[in-house]
Amino acid sequence: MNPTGTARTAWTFWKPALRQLWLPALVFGVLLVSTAGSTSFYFPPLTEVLDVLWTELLHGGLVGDLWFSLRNIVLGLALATVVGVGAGLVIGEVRTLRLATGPLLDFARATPTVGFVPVIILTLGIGSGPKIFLIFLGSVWPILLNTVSGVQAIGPAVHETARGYRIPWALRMRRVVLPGALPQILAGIRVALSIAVVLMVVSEIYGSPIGLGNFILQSGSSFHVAETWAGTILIGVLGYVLSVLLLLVEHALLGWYHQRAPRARRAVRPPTPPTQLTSTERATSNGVVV
Amino acid sequence: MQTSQTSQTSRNPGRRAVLAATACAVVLSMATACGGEAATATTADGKPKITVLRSNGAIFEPLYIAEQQGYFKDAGLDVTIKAGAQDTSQNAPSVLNGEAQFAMTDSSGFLKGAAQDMPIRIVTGLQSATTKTDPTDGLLVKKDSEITSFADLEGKTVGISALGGTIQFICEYLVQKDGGDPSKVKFVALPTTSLTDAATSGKTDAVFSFGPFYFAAKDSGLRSIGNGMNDLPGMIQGVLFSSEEYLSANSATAKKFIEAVAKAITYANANPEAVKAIDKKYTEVPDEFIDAHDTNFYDKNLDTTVMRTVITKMHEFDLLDKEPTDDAVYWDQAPTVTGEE
Amino acid sequence: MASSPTGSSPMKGSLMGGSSTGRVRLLQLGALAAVLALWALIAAVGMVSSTALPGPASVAAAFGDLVGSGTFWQAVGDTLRGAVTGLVVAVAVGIPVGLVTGVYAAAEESSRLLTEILRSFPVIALLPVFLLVLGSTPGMKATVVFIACVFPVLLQAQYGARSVTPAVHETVRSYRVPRLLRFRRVILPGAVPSIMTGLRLAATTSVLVAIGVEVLTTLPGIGHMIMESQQAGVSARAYAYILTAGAIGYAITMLAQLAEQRLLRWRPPTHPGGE
Repeated sequence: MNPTGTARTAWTFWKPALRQLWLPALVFGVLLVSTAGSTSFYFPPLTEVLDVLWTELLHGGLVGDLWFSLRNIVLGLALATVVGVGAGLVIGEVRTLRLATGPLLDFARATPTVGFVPVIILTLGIGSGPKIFLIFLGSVWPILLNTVSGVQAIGPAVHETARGYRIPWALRMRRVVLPGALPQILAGIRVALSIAVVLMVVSEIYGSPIGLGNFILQSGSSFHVAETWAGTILIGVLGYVLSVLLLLVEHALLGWYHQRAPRARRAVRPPTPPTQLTSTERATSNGVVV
Repeated sequence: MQTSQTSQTSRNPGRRAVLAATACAVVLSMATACGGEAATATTADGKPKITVLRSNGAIFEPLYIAEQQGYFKDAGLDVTIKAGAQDTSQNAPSVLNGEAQFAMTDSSGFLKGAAQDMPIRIVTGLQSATTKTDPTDGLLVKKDSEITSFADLEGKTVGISALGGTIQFICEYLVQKDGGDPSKVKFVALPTTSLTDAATSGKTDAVFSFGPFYFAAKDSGLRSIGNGMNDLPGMIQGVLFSSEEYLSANSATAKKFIEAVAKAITYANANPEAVKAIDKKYTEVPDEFIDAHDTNFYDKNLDTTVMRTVITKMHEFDLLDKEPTDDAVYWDQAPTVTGEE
Repeated sequence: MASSPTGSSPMKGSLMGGSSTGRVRLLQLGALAAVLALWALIAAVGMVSSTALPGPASVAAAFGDLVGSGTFWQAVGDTLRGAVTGLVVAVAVGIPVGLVTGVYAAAEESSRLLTEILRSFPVIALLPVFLLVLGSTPGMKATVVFIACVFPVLLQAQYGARSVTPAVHETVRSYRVPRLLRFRRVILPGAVPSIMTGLRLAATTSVLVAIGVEVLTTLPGIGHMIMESQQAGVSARAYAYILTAGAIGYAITMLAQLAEQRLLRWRPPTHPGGE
């Protein structure tokens, strides 16, 4: 089946979109209808919630709150990725380090970050700093641990080959180890994202009263139920948008992993302007690894 | 894809059956635990069953005294005291859905729910701000701070333990009383344990602390301004409230309950040692502190005039959406008094 | 006990190296000692006040006191009960759904949006409503844990199912293997490595989420004790509880890894891309 010209682009866009949208649309419709005349205090009509959301966005400070929280979560996650991947690559590669720190890292991952909030507030104050740090502290572990296990999962044959070709350490890390561990790393980042969204809300319990999480918590505690739901919906959208972005990155970087033929990869790519792979990434994505 | 037939623990039917059985057992036990807890009996062997949610900080002592001295038993009530939410205003939903019949909160905690038309009513006071006891809370600043009065707080940041509650209200009220504009004061929420450090390290310009932290802060060199809540005597600091539904159906039981609590209040005021013993048992506050400081003065009376001031002012400061009327606040059999202005 | 072919074990933390076990233990103790020393240093230097960050000695003392007290073990039990129930249900739901969506592109596409939205949802925001609908009960805690844990399990099962190569699918289809059998005997084992990773993640998540719920709703458990200790200013006790939580999570991870090793003995070390 190979329709020509613009019809092909339109159809290849709408068909998958339809397949993805029918279930959510159905759920949305059901929610809309079932809450329509609701007088329950805790489940206001969906229409009312959306109305409140709209008003708050336009006239309330919600956009500012949203921007503040978004900034914090992106910075926190970016920091966690950089530190997590960096440290993870090193730890994964150096066997002694990995074995020595193994239990410690597992232990650290298992401790509830929530308990450290007072210390963090004390040392870093009441601005964005402590919030970003809290998000970083909670999200770095899945990324780090997944990087380590990703590096470990690279078959020994690969290491042998790299050594056989006498590839220098730095280049080996960038071109062999990093791409090899990439699937696990990205899986770790996905997990870290959910943790980061939760921590974003927790981090806004204290400190200056700005932010989306703060909005939800304050609305909840003063029993402004419609606002609470509105904020919750918004945070769901925020989390979703971030994970879609992550998905796009994954698509671009991991075409070879999901074993899509190069042609198929191009067709499956979303209709938004395709992310331009840098020359390095293009080399590795057609890569020799595994 | 060939798989070997040996050592396939995941394939062993016996092991799989055991795992499945365990899973089922766990799920079932959760289901029954869930179901059991949800039952809210109103009578058990004839006696009305009451659950009370207490606060986590202080002021709840009369409840335990009533239990220990047998006042509840004498009144023919079967009372269970449970710790409620950390933020006592969140006890309101539990009272409304029948999980508890009574719960504690403070004035702003109650008003938050009342302003949203929640059908709750105050049944009795437990404690109100009074000049009879020394202040146990207040505004604290660094010794060398330029702030000398509440009016100086304009444009400054004040650290408090929770936003939108009684502490924020009293701060704004005192700022206004001093001639300042409360809307120009910035409030931030901080963990109670960090309040002292926040002021000393300059992260905030001032803090409003209470309880053991207030005294520890003064000891560590912070200067206090004003008398805290004692500057608005009669402001209600602890109440017991219930849902309108429960009260209209069980008014005799409720009356017996508050009378038992009133007896306990009299006992508590006369026997501070008993109160201290309860604090040592039920709070994590260090024993030395409990011994060194006086206990609260408990008072069942609800000063409606001061409360009306609180309501009006909270609405003015945008802390409340609207001003509930008196009959939306008090139960008709609650011990209300009109204070002199 | 099988020893790995190349001498460098692919299983994280595995100590099946024989004679080097002693050396590894020494290394681990060394790392632990370094961390403790750093902690003691930070506390002693007084960068942060002692109420916020007490030194290791006072925390150890507080921990010693706790282990003897009944409240401690009750709190641990409460947390674990909530975490385990939620986890079990999450696994029971997540694995089948993950496998199905991994194999059938149609199912995956239909559920993709919903899954993405739901998993990005911070359950914390729903706590107030949950409290009302389900009340302050262990069941509510288990429900929240379930929601938090089901997605890692589901996604990992999905990844794992997807890693089964098209060649295998073709083979199985050409032999006309019935669907259910196909899932049980081909897809599931193929996905097991990924699923085990997911289980490991979900297990630690379950404890963390249970504690998080306890912190925010004062349901009994470790989280509640942390809050109460912090509110009362006895932060050494609070940290003792935090470390307990870490220890529990760690123990769970160790158990999960043990399970992983035993269940995957039949499969040689995998690398991404499937076989």
